[in-house]
Amino acid sequence: MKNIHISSVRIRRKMIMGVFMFLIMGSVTVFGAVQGTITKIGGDKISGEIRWQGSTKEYVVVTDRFTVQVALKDVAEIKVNEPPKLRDAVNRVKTQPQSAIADLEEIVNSYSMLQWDLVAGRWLAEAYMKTKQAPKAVAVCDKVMMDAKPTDITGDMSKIYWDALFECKLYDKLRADLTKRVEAGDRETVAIAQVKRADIDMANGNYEKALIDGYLRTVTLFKTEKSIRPEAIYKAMKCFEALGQQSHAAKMKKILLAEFPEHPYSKEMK
Amino acid sequence: MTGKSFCGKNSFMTDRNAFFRQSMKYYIWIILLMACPVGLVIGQDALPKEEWVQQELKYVEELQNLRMPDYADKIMANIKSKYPDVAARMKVMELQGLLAMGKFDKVLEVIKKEPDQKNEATWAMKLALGDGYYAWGKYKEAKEIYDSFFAAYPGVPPQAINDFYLDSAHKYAQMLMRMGENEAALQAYNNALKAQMERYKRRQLQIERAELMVNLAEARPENQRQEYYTEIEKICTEIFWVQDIWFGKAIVIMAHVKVMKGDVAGAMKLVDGYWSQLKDIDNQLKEQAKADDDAAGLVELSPVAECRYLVGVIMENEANRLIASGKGERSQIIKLLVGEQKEGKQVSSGALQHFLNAFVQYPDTQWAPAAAEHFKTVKDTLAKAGIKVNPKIPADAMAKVRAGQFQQGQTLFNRQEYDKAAETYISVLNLFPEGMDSISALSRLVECYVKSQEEGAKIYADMVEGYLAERFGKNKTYMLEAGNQILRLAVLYDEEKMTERKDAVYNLFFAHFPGHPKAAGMLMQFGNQKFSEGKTDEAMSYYTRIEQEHVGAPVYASALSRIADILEKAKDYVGEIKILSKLVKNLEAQHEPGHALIKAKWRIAYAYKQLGDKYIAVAANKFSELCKILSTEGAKYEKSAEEKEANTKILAGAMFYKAYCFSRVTQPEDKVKAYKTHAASVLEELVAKFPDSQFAPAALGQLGTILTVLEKPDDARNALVRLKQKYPKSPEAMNSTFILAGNLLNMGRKQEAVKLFKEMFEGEGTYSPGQILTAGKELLNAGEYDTAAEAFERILASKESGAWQEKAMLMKGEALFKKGNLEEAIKVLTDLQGKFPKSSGIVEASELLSEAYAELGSKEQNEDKRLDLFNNSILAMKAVRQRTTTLPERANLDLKVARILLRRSNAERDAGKADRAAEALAQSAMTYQSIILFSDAAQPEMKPYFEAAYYEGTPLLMELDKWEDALENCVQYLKMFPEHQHASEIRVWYNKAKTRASATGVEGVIAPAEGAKEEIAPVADVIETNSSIESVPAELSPTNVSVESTGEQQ
Repeated sequence: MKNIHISSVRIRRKMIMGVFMFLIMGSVTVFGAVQGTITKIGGDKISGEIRWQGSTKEYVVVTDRFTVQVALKDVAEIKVNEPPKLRDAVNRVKTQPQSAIADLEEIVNSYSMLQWDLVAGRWLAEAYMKTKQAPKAVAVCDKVMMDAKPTDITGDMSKIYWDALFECKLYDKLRADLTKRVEAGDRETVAIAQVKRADIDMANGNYEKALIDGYLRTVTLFKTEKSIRPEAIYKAMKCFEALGQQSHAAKMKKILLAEFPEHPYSKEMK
Repeated sequence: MTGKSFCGKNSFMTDRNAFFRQSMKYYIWIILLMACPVGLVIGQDALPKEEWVQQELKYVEELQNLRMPDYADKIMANIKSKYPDVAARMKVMELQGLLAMGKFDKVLEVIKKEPDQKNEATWAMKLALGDGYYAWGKYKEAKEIYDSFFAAYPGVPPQAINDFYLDSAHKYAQMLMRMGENEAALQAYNNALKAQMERYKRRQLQIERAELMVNLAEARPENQRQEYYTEIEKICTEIFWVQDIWFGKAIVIMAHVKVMKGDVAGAMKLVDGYWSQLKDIDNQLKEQAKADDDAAGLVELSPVAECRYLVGVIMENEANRLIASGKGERSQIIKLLVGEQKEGKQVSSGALQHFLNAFVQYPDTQWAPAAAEHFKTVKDTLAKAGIKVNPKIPADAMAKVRAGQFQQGQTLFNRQEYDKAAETYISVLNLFPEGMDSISALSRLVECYVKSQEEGAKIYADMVEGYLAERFGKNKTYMLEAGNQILRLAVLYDEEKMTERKDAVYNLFFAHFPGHPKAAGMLMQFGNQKFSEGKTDEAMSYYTRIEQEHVGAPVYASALSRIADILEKAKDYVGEIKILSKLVKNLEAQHEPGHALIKAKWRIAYAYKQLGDKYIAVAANKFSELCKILSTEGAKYEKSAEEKEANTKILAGAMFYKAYCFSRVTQPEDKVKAYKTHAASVLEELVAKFPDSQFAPAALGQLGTILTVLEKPDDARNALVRLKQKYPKSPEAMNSTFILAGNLLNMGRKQEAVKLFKEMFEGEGTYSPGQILTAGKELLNAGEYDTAAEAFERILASKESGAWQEKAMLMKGEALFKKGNLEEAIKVLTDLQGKFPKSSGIVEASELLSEAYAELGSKEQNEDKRLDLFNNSILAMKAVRQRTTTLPERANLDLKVARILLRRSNAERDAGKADRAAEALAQSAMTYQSIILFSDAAQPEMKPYFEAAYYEGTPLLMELDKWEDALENCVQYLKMFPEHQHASEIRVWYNKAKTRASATGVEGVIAPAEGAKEEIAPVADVIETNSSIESVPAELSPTNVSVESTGEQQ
């Protein structure tokens, strides 16, 4: 009897809470809610108006019939329609970055943890960088990456984040993040992280360390990572020059010219 | 398609060295196939002389290549004994032996001694040196020799040096290609071909030459390539006459030339036309490899792999060209990339299949890694075009490829061709970056760099080590193997006595492999090593890592115990208790902690005792707890007879110290007596329960003391009688009075203790000099100077005094000084200075001596004697100053000198010698000022001396009418010490000085308000020069001031 009594009390509390939640949810205009579908781990799909609730690390989904909370850890995938202004704003970042900032900021705020904040955040960071607002770039990257799954953070995004941290001279924070990636990232991310980490050492005049833990490592053991390779070779050459090891510097120059004859770094040396 | 597009980064011709690896292999196989059967069947004696000599020399060469000079020497000795006339060649061989060990200087010395530097024999030696330089990567030095040689022999080489000429020209060509000097390399090939050689060798050189010309042609504009094309075609046509492996190579080169000319269809047709011959060569090599395990490497020489690779590249480039132009038909592109299917069957291969075949079928060839890379790019191209392909590479085939590729590096490594091995490993590691074999390859790669003679190779070794550790140290799958490889390198460095590298690599291991099973053990091992060397700070860093990173590891408890040892030694008892508490927690969680837990608890209790009276009650409780555990459930903590015995000892000890602690508790006062009574009962119990314990005699001694304090003299005497009866030979029994006095002293019963100490000298006890010294010291501190002096005299009279004499003399001097017997004190202390000039107590003795002289001087009526005594006082202080090392020490001494001078001034004044009084006063004031002016006020530890110098010196300045200086002093004092107790007095002086200074025209110095704080600029900022004590000119140094004045008097 006692158990039954307790259960009924719990049910009643839940019902009250449900009504309360319904009133709360229904009575306010929800900021940052968009239409989409959440696929839970296990395959269940829930479609409706989705909103991210950062304080509890869960999504609130309002469907036609009910409101439900889904914990972040239970989410396998989230699909939300692309924000209408995104594509145009991204295009403008390339040519008129200042004009794209307001739209991208709006998307980052409205789509918090709703798939597109990462995309918009990445381009917003680039826009900030192009308009010499590196601290804002750091802030937006921190914001959109805070709860994002590590696998959702692209090498591209990481690179901009690291550039921004570097620009702000937040070397300790940058080094810690880079080292984490070097230890556990995919090969492309590792290569980029190594080069960026070496940039810190180079900026501090630690040329040998920059070579050993960064540029030379990337040049020698990450040959297939073509996106970062020319930069790594070029900077390795610069470090060897700074160390007075001209024969090694010449070797790097030769590799760069042979492999990337059309690259701006190569053109700079011709 | 243009030649340029083909010869870009993906060109199959780019890796020249790989080709030479193949050539070398071929060469070795030929040697083996030729030489071994002949040697076995015919035997050496049956061979003609020249042939036998050639064969033996070849053997020597191979041994030298394998860096086995000892064996090579033996073979050479045999040849020499048989045919002394081949000495010249042998000499070269000997030099090669030295070169194999890198002894270039020695070889240069030998060559230098040759009477004719231009004859053929000397040139042969020089060429050997050039070859040696080449082998060790010293290309510049090698080039100088080769260049001068070929300049000396522009035509056909003489027969006597034909072989050296050929070999050197070939090596020179390879070296030049390695250096990127392809034009010069072509000339070197042309030179090589001037020599006489066997047919297979000529074919090999020709093919290598043709291949080199392909590269040269690629580097030229299309309209300047024809001369090379003509020569290449001529060579290949000649090669086509014999169907050997060079035949296959010639087809590939010709096809390549056609591609460069833009004739892709012609290239394909050429390969197709000769495909059956190529396959025949391939099959023959495979069959030979199948029949003989030792010949397995022959498959690597198959031309099919290269052909497939070439065809794949042609097709891929053509497809890419069509895609880029936007004009190609989709079906055509697909056909080029994945071949053609009809009725579900593959009727032709595309680039994808060719790369796959080259990759899977010929895993050991140089083409496999490049083919794999192209395979990926083709798949990417197809994916971008929306075509999904699912080519299946069987896992075992992939494994075979991996193994084959890594084996290539290992083979070169085994041959000690470290630079080539490094190149191979890098190539493979970029293809297979992560896996078990990648990890061991990375480790071998480090070795290659370490053993390489190339300049700057070590930075590459550091780079690979760092990568291996950082990338795999926290990877669950590879961490174990990566850690093992790092440790393997450390052992290797240790064997090679490369201490710096060894330490660096161990540090990498500790930094990146916290989860490695050996990490905790290694840290413990390193910690123990440093601990045994007495390097406790370094040991501590290792133990601390275990404490922080390896909680629960088998060595965890041992590490905590060691940390506690170190902290105990450093008297950091609080830290020791914290660590031991962790240890106890860890041991309590264990199933059967045994004696270890008891010992840890014992140590905690003991550490509390060491913290002194403040924690004595806690210590008492801890010892009580231990007694309770061992008395009631001791069996739980005994895993063996040894542990049982150890616990029994601890129980006895715990009882002893429990009693000791209870006897020392002073709060609450009304319970003190009860605690002492309890302590006495515990000691009685201890003696009864453990009469044979090491603590029993001490317990009786302690009991006697406590009973004395409890005013039970009879019981106390009884305890000491029992002590003497039961343990007559124990130190406690032999020195019972001393122990009792010592115990009373420890309990704060000083008066009673002194009384007993006095008894010691009155009685017949046999006390050691150390005990008497201790007693004497206590008597001295208690003001019993006569008895104390008697005690020290007793030590000095003793034959066993030895090491105690210094201290006894010092303390006797102090006792006599304090008693007022100054002359005698001076005598004893002067004797001490003479007898023990390096004594640790010399400073104390000199200060006492200085005080004694000054005191005598103050009382002396005779003018000259008075001056002498004060001078002696200052000289004694000067002797002390020489031994000071710190600024505060010096400042302190200077203060004392200033005070002595002041005393002299007072003495002179009292004696009516106003002039001398004023002179001494001025010297005293100057000495105070020197402290103020020449010391660093920024040092916090200097502040008390500054304060004293200002406070004591300023009145002297005022007395001397130095008002400006006095005013300045007051201002500075108030800035530095605005809240000091003397500040109000200084303000009075300030006002007085200001008034007087104004009267003499000094203005503008404003005193800070009361309570105002201002940062004081370092003296160095105030004084422009000579601001530090070290830089003070000798004549201004405070002690010299006094001596100068004495000099004047003399």
